[in-house]
Amino acid sequence: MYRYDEFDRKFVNERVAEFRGQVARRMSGELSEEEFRPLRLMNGLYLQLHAYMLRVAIPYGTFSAVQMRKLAQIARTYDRGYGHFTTRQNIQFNWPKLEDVPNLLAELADVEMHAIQTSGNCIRNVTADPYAGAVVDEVDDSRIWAEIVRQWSTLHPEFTFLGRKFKIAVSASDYDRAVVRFHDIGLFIKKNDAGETGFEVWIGGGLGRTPMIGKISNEFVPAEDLLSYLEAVLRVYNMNGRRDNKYKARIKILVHETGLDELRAQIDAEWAAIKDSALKVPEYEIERIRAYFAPPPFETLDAVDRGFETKKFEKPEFSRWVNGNIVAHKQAGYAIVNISLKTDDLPPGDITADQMDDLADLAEIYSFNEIRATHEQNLVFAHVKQSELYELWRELGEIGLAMPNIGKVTDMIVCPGLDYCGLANTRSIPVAQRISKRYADLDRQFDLGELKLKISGCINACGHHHVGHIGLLGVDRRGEEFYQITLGGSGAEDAAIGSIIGPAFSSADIVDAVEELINFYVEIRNQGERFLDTYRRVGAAPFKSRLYPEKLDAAA
Amino acid sequence: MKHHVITANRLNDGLVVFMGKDGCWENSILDAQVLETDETLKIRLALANAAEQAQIVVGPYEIEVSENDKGEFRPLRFRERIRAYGPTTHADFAIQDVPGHLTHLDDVSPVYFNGVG
Repeated sequence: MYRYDEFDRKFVNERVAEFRGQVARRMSGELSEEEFRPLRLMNGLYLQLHAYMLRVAIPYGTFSAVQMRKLAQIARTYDRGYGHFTTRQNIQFNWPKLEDVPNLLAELADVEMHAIQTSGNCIRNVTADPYAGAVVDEVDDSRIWAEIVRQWSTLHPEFTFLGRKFKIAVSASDYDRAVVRFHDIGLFIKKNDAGETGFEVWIGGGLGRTPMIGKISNEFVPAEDLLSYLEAVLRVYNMNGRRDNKYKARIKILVHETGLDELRAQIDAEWAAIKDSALKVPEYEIERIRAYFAPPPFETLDAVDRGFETKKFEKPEFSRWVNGNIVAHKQAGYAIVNISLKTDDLPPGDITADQMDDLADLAEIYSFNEIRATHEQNLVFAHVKQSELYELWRELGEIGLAMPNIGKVTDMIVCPGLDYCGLANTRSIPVAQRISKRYADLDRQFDLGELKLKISGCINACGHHHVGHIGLLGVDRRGEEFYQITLGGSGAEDAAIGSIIGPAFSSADIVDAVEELINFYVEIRNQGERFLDTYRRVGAAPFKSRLYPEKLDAAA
Repeated sequence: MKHHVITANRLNDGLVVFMGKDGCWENSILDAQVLETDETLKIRLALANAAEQAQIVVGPYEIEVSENDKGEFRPLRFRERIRAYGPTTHADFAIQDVPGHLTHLDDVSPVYFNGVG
């Protein structure tokens, strides 16, 4: 894992002291709310519906057991005993007091954490494949490059006041586990024929009120030129992106309005001018960062652990969890473990302080002290011995975190919605809870297979509904909660934006409507087809007829 | 004239507060002063703005309320009900003196309303 150097430590401590002064001046009246707002946002502090909310950065979602324990203590001391993992692999606290936040940040700094650039019109927390460094299909550890990008983008003087927020994601696999194509810049690490590392760069992707799939601006940027290329993209965006309208200020609009070829020419011209500058990443620097992400001291093990295979045979529940949540590891005898935060008890992505403490203990015992947060609001232990999976499963079960539903219909991305968010039109969490209850039967979930359901409480699309196989968007209809359904979206390697299927449903009817769509899929699916596959094969019309039969009657 | 109460978030902890009869800021909407005329609303908003200047609250504004059959005033707008009564998802976080606020799982309409107290 990356560790702070002297510079990092000094800088973060100075930033805490600076914010402490700003809070004191706000409390004394020296700063008005208008003056204070941009300052608190730069430190990840929002004022939401019920209280302040602090978003803590977890760069590329990787953190340690020690950091998890600190988050637990913060949840207890400064919040109400909970934390909430977000789609940028960060964690949010929903109830901190303004007067406590400087102390909270000082405690975070003790474990090399902060809340800088988790809000505001700057380059946000860089996200990456949560299986990085462990998964079979990657060409490199994407966290190395995410860390290099993080260092370049942290307090970059030229990009601290962009027209709008800017999000970057990194993956090193053909499988997209980080919604890379829906980022302002998405990076896929590639190897060319000579075996050299480079980046396929996607620009102008995004969700929100104008969802767009990114476009490839460069098929292979050599590794040493990555930062100069990113700088060129950001510079062109910063100079030419719109500032007249907040909703048209993201780079996706610039790409759309300028056209990819013209924009690419502008980027290349800028790039040519700065390519051979101090932005060149020297090999020794790449190796220095790489060393932080060196593989843990794996044992030499057999590819198949007999004890593990026997337990799967003996314990069907364990076997189901393995089928649902375990992914193959590149090191023989190890496995990647997904820990679902979509349980019966808490809102999606929520975790209690006690669970955090227990998970920290388990990470120490079973996964080299290391934890990952995923953009789907779950956690990952990246390096677990197969021979210890059964014990881990048993212990996770004791703290309510052995739900085997990864990628299933109840593993929803859900925004906080109107229960917390000042921008939302409708609630999201209660709808998710009702859907979870409807599909509580695990046999039924496993029969449906992979089904990505995502819920947003407003058009800002924090719940990624556009890329749900089934997406729900909350809309306000004369003061009542209604939900619009989109079908056919995907945030993965088969990226697509879902299409609205028809008129919205009331809160009372939405769960039945979702079930009707899923039932229809079950009736017409071919062997091995996911919901998305069936939808793509037959198109929207049959689903629409099933969902709105009265329209058919009217037409007949 | 519609009935209003004045609400804001308290500066030091961010929590939702309502202006009470004596001009103090209360945690419960049940302790809020209900304003029945344009004139009192105007005077009280001026007082609320002064409280913002004095670093007591952030962003004060008026919300419309209506009286139910128990004589309690409740916000008309859905968003304001959630603000007044707390998230509908965590039993621990709800303001407990509002029965029915959390029973959303099987009965979808407890905090649902449109002008109905």
